[in-house]
Amino acid sequence: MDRNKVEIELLQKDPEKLLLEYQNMIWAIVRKQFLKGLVKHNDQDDLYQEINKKLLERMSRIQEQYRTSSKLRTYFSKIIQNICLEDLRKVSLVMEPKPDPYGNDDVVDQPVDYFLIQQEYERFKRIITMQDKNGQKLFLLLKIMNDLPIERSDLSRFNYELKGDAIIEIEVKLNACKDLMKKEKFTIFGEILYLLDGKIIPPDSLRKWFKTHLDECLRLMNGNPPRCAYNAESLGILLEKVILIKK
Amino acid sequence: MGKQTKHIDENSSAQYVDWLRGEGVKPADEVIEHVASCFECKEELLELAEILDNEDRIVNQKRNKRINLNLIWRAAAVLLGVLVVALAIEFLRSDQKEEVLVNDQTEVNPVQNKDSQIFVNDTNKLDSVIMEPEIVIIIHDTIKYAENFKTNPGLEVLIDANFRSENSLTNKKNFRQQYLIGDTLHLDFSGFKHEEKIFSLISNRGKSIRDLTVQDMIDLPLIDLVPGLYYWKLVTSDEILILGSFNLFSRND
Repeated sequence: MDRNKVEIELLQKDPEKLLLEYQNMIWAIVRKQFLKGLVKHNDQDDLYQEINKKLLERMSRIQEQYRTSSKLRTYFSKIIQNICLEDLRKVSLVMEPKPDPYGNDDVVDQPVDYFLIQQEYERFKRIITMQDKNGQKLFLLLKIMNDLPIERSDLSRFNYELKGDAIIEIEVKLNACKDLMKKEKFTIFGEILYLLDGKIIPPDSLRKWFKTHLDECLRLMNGNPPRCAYNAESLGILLEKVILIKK
Repeated sequence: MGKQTKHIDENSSAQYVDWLRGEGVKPADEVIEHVASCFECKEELLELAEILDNEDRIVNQKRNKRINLNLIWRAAAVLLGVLVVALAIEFLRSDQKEEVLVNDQTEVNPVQNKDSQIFVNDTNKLDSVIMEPEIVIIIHDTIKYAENFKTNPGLEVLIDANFRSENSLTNKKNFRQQYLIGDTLHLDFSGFKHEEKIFSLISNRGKSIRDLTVQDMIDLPLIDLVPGLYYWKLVTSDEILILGSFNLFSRND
């Protein structure tokens, strides 16, 4: 039987049993707050108990408010995260965030390069998705700045109605950016955005826009607490590696 | 978007996370637009997506272990059965072997089958030797494997490792130093005249542990670290100056 359906049934018939199923998830979220420096090591258990208590108290509200637009597990995890943040917003940082250099020991060891790159690229794709329209432009600019080949599928991310010839022309123009100076690349990209949007964006503005969004992307990639140390160069290498793997 | 203590309500957030993980429908435009413009929401939702990824990975891993264990038991049972049958056949066959009498005056033609050879000695006794089946031992050519190992310069720069690629940044023969927990890592950078230098200590999984601004040297106490292999790098805003690595041992090793 579908796991989600089983859990929804438990929510209605035996919520305490459902809560037992979610104990690992509760602990994972509590531990995340500890690593962010919001909870002391000794207080993790207290927070963990507090969350269980609050979940039990709020169970009837959860039963009423849950809509089936998402998986129950996901919905529950968001509630748990919110409960953590409710309590922790009242206090400031209690200790320095601890990097968790050794990660989750339960993760299966797999061939390092392929798995590592896939995992990192998955994270990057999500961050781009979250940026919505800005993400599409950012992705394209990242490829251009790192002299990576532009594909038709990269352009189809834009919501513009591009006709066949226009797509080819843009693709050729962008691929001709290789080995140009950064300023020239921004100029060409600006011209292409003008073709698509009708808006004139000076290269300098585009450069500032790119820097702002790239910084945000790097902050999200590196995480809190920091799980790695990406910079613009290593992010470009990640994209390059992904292209090679896909080939 | 509903009464909330967060920017978007729990149902919308959960729907967004499912969509991000490729498991649900696209949320409403207003939700997407809000997340696109809100760093805090991005951080929280990304964090949640990864916690759920990890949970699924652990559950799948445990399920696969159970399946594998069942398969292992079944395979063991089959092998045992085959072994018993083989032993039984062998036992029966050995009972059925006939003695061959050889006349002193006739030429000895030893009876041969693929499993045994019969010799006749001077006293006309029969000795039989059963030849053991040939056992083949496979020794992996680890040296050949190591020589054929394909270096990955991009990944090495990505995780700032120090392997054997042609990348000039990573193929320096920095000898690997060794320290005990509690020792002090002392490095002299006075040869680099750059003004602003940053020293980074990185674990063997590519995760940054310490980032410090340095001038001419660094004295870093190696405490609050677990034993293992560590990398370090000295960088400016534009370039990597030098890389190194060391093994850290506990005092009981």
